[in-house]
Amino acid sequence: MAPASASPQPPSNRPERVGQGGQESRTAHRGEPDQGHAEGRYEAYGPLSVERQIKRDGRALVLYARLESPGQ
Amino acid sequence: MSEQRFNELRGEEVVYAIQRQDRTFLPSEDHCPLCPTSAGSQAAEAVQTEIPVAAFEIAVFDNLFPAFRAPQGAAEVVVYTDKHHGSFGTLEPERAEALMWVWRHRYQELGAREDVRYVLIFENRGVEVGATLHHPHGQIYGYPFLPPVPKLELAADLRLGGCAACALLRGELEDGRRVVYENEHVAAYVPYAARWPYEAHVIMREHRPSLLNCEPDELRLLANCLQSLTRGYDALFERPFPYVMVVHQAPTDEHSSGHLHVEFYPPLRTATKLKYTAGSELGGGTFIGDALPEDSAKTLREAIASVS
Repeated sequence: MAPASASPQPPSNRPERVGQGGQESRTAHRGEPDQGHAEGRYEAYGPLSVERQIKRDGRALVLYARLESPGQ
Repeated sequence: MSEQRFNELRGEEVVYAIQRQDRTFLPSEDHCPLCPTSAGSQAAEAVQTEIPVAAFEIAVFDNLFPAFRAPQGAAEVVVYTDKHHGSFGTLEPERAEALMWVWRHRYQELGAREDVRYVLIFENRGVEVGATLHHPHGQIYGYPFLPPVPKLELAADLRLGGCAACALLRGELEDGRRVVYENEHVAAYVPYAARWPYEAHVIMREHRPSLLNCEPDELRLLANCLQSLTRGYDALFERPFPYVMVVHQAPTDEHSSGHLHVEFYPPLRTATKLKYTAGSELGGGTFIGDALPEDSAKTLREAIASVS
């Protein structure tokens, strides 16, 4: 378990666990399409936006972007 | 599933992840699995990569060829940018700062898992240290046990009667000969007993067990120091400088301590010659150095200054 953090706590610092299924994929490279993914859930962490997706093979994908950066 | 065996003679765990034997090996740019899906591809021929979006800033996903996975740990890939070319050192400073927050988030999330005892964030840069993808990226392992090196650091704390990293930093700053870079919150130095010719440690000035304990400005200046060092490395021999970069933090078991620092193990001893781990290093456990840390530090300090 992670030790307690000092100030300042970012928002949403105890996100839901994802991506622990870990089954082996056979399709995730170019030429072997991943064939889609679940739409993401959004949250914030410090200065970042966090978008969580689940790949079709069950693996987790998390996309981070700066909240203040337009056009990303 | 990986298999873990205990090596009695060495007193350490060995992990067998035989599924990694077939992992992607130095693909061409147009077959890079870390590029965004649509980058550089014809619409009709667009194929999915590991990151099935048109653009992204920083992406993290479960490794397709994991050394660890739940319920016995984790293995993640951290992609620094959607641009295929470049390096950690050439990221825009704002993106490098964002990466510190990503590392922080992953440490927090993986560390919260019952099957993870130690979160190791690292980057293997260059084929010389085993990188198999050129796209700028790092990795994170969530070990289901405490690995030997962090264990040694905890033992050093006990031996020195307090935080060993704090004590060593004080000594390095007082001596000064091996310090290569400093800012308000972070310092970098070649250790007194470095094992690699241009080994460097980047360390928080204040006692911070992990990224979770850092203030936002400390994270910004940590990124700044790491980028200054890596750019200095590239300037040293005027070539992309291979290294292993490892973030050491407190174990995630709720009671162990630690001091956030980042260690760099670069294998080059000259522009064209590698330092190998050979008979003495592997068989005897003793590194034989080709250069004194003070001399390496002077050269590295000048290289960093030349690009700052």
